Amino acid sequence: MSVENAPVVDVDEAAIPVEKKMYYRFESNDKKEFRVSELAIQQSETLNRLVEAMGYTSEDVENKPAIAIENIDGKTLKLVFQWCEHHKGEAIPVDDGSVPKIVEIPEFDAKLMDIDNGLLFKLIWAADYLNIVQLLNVSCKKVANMAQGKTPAQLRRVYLLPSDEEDEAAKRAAQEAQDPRAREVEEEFEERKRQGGNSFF
Amino acid sequence: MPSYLSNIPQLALKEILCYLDHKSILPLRKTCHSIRNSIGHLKPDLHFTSIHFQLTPNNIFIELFYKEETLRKCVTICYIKTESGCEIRCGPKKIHLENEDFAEVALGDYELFLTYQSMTLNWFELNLEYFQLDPLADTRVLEPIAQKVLNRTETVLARKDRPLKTENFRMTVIRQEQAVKILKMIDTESLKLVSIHGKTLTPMIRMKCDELEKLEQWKKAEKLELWRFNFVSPIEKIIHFVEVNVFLKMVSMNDVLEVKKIFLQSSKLQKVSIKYDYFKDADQFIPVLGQFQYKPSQYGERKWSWFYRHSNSNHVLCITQTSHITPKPKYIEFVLLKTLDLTRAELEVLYPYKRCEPTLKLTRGSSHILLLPFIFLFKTLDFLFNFSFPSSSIMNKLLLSLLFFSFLAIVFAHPHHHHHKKRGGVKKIVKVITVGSGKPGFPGKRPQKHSSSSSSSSSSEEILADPVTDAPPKCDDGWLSFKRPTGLWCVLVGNKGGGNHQFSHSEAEKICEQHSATLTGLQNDEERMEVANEALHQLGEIKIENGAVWLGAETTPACKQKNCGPHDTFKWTDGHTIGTAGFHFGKNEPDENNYDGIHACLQQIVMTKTFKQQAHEEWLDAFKHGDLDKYKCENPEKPKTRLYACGRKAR
Repeated sequence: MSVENAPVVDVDEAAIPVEKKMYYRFESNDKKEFRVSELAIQQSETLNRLVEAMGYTSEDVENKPAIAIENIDGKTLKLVFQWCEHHKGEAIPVDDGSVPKIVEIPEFDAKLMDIDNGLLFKLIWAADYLNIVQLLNVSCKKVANMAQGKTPAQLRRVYLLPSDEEDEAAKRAAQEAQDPRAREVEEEFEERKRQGGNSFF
Repeated sequence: MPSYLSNIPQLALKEILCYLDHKSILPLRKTCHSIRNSIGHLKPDLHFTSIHFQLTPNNIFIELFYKEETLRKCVTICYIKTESGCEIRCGPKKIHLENEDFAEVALGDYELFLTYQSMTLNWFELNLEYFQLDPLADTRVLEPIAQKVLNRTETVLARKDRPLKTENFRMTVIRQEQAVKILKMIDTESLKLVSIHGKTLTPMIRMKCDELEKLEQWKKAEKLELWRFNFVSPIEKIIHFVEVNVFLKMVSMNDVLEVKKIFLQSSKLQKVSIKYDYFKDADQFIPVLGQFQYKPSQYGERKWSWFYRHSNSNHVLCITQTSHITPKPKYIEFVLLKTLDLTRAELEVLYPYKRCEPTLKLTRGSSHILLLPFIFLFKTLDFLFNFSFPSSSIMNKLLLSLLFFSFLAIVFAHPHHHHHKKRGGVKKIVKVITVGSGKPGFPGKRPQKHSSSSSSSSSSEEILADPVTDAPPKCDDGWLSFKRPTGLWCVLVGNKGGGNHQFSHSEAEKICEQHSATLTGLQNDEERMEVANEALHQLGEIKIENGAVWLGAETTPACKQKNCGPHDTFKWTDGHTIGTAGFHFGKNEPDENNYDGIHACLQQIVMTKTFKQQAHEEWLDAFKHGDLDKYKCENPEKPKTRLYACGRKAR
């Protein structure tokens, strides 16, 4: 796919002086290409390290193939880079381990994440993989908000979780595949079941 | 089938869980095994602020406190032993588990809460209530369960990645070792208060705390609360605490002296409070502790205070013994005060010599000089009536001799004083007054700022040189303070100066005038009851159970005889009280008698709870303690004993 045809994320041109503008090209697992500013990339620890290690010049970026991100599809990656461009230059929050953690979801993020649950979980997955701390914060916060005041049955629907029976069936299937790891997990959760079984909670 | 939450990375799940509290995490645990496994592995904090556990022979209560927005909330789970198993109640929810042991089930949940807790708790409480109803039977039942609870708690706390953090730690135990077992598992850095409530079959027994004091937790904490433990000697035990609260069945003078010693040596102690039911040798107070200040306060408390200079020259140790008219535990408090914060009266106790100068100045106004003998007489009577100390025999002797002495002193000192102001004699008189004066409140008594001309170089001069000036208005000692919308209103309830406690409304008014006050009105029920209770308290000191307080009100011209209703028959006369909320009459009051005089007066009936049954005075049936009564202003007989309630604005 040629560069010209690739869906390109809108960038606020005025924000960065023209001469310092440096772009990188990334490609999703479904071969969609993105051009992302250097400053926006800094929001992702994973990508930032990657481009630093590569040490591309402007020419390299244009001449060499786009950097492939193999685990993330184009739809998700578009959201990720939109988020990064909007928040570029912002300080990356440091988790000091204080509980409860206070995170506000800004309006832009709320709109960005106004998506179906499947995509939202993919976004979380991507934020985790690319190590974008603040995106992980807001997306997790959004998922957490969905849990408020729900019964276990409602939670199963919201989060598409299997019931215990389905869960067990899945485990059995895994065990039958002779995976030694599955047996281990099975034992662990049998132990948990015993511990939690006679509990009120 | 996509399974969103169970497929996401651990880090993300952890992140999601950290925004959730118990209300979401506990249901999430119930969705499916894989989530329960993950949660069990991640141990998310459930956002509890306090965790309380209470064991009684047949029940366990777990109380979990948490914050919702800014509100503090609490969920209580009750595990009840039943014939066939265990019943669990939580709010409206109720389940029964057959063949389950209530302690096991409760401990299962408790383990979860403690394991997941990572935030610093406000309170961690573990109370083993051995002596609920029948101490012996309860102990037999409870002992094995308590052992199980302690062992399990210890194991759970030991298994935590980091020690449990809590600011306040409280346990109720019957043996020291029980508290040691759990306290030693608590994080030392966050701990502020260690509170151990010991329970013993024989309340007089004091438990040892030698093992507790070895713990790092004990050494690091700032506050200590101990019940039924022997807390004094050796000194090192409590010297590092900032605040210590102790409750004991019986204390002795020896305890007081030990604490005093520790206090004066410690650079940290700010406050030690000893609550007690009995004082073994209360007659030793005066001989051992020396000169004191006596203060009856408005809440039916009586306080005796002693002051000592602390090694830190800006501070003073104040020992106060407080007793109540009601059978509440009495207490002794040791408080470190800033010398600058002491009131005038307190400074006079600390530095008795400086007393005479300002007093002379105060009474030097010509009209006051003429009144002086009477004032002394009042004060001495006041002293006699007000003053009753637990150690009666010695104090009575002391009182009588002081009384006699002060009479002599008045007689001899008066002419000198009047004409020459001979200092020696006056000095003595004034000192006598210092000791006993429970109710100062002479007009103009507040001292003017006086300079330290005598250059005696003591720090007391400097302290006295800057007495309470520019302070916000407040009521003198012994006066009740009522915060009214129109300003602070001070009320002096008393029965002194009226000859055998029998005096008319106008005589009461005269006594008030001597205090620069007037008979007071009552703004509301609170004021009404506070005056009544203070009056009752004073009657109690002269062993009288029924009396009446003259108030500042008179009938309006139209309603001198006619009952115009509770709100319109009387009007307040003190010029400050407004409204009718304080008018609360007895049954069939105001009555329709046409009493002598231009108007009828208002008295407040005061009596003890038991008085009515003993007295057989029919007229009293219409009244409760504190009710108001329309009555004649002169020659009152019902009841005979009179008090006044004088009011004035705070200055």
